[in-house]
Amino acid sequence: MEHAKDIELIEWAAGRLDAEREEVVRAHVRTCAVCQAKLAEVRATWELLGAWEVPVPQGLDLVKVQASPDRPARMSQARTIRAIDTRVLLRIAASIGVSALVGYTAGRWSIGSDRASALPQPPSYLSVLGLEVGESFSPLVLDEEMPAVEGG
Amino acid sequence: MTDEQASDAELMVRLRRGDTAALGTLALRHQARVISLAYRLLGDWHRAEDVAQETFLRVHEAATKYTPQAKFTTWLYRVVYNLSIDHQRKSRSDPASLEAVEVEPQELPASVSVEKSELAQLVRNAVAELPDRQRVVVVLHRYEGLSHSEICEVTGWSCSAVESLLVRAYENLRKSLLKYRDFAP
Repeated sequence: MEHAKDIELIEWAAGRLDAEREEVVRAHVRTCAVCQAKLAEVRATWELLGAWEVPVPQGLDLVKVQASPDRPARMSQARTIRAIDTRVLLRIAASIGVSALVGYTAGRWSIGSDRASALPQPPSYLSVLGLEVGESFSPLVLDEEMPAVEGG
Repeated sequence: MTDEQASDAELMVRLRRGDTAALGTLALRHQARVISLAYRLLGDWHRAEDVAQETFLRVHEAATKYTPQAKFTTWLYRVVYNLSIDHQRKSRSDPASLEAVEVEPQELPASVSVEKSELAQLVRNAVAELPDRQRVVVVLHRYEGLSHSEICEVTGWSCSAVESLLVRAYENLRKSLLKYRDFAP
C-alpha cells in the first residue's frame, strides 16, 4: 500500500492541497492507521506553530507621504516622501545630490530650506518600538512636482 | 478609482508615473507583512525595521521598470527575503554561511497569559534553531501562507528542494514541539 507523501499531509494540514489530490489522500488516510497518526502529528505541529504571533505596532508608518504646503495655483500638486532613517539616507545621498543639482538647474527639484531647517517630530512608531531619536535622526524631504495624470 | 481600491499592480503603474501617494498606499497595505516576515527571518526588531524601510525604497526605485508580470506580493517577499539575507550576512561578516539566527526575547503584550507567552517563546526558539533554509521555508509557508511555487519564486530554489526542506523542517519542529501539544492554542 502506498502511503500518503509527507508533503501532501503537510499541505493538507495547511489547507493547500488541491481538491483532486486531497480526495485521493483523504480516501487513503481513512483506511491507513500509519497515515492517520502521521497526519495527527502534522496537524498538532501546525497548530503549535500558530502560538508564535508577531504583534506589529499600531500606527506603524514606514513611508510618510505628505502633501507639501500650498503651492501657487499654476503648479501641479506636490507630494513629499520622507526617508526617516539616516542610515538609509546615506545610501541614496549621492544619487539625490546629483539629481538635486540637475533638477534645480532644470527647475524641477527644490529642497525647501525652511522645511529642512525645522526638524519635524519623529514618527510616533519609534517610541512604540522602543527606539530613541538620536542626533542622527534627520529626515530628508524631497519636494516632487506630481506630473499631470492622464485619465485620472 | 481611489488608491485604496486599486490593485497592487495598478498602484505600481501609478507610482511609475510619479504618483508617490501610491507608494504610501502600498506601504500601508503591506508593511505589516513585510516587517513581520523580516522579523521572523532576522529575530530582531531594529534590523527588521531597517529591512522593511529598505524594501519600500526598493519598491520606489523599481517602479520605473515595473511591469505587472508576477504577483506583486511574491515579488515583494522576494525583496524582503534578499534584503534579510544580505542583512544577516553583513551582521555576521560571513558571506558563505547562513546560520541560525540569535533570538532576542520577544516582549508580548501584558494581556497575553504567561503560559501562552512561554509557548510562543518555545515555538520562536524552535523555529530559530532550524537550519537557515529550513527556517526560511517554514516562515514563508506557515506564517506567510505562501504556496510551494511561490516559495520557489521567492527564494529561487527548485521546487523539489523546497519540498524536501519543508518536510525536514516540519519533522524537526515536530520533534521539538510535540511535547507541548497540550498547550496548543
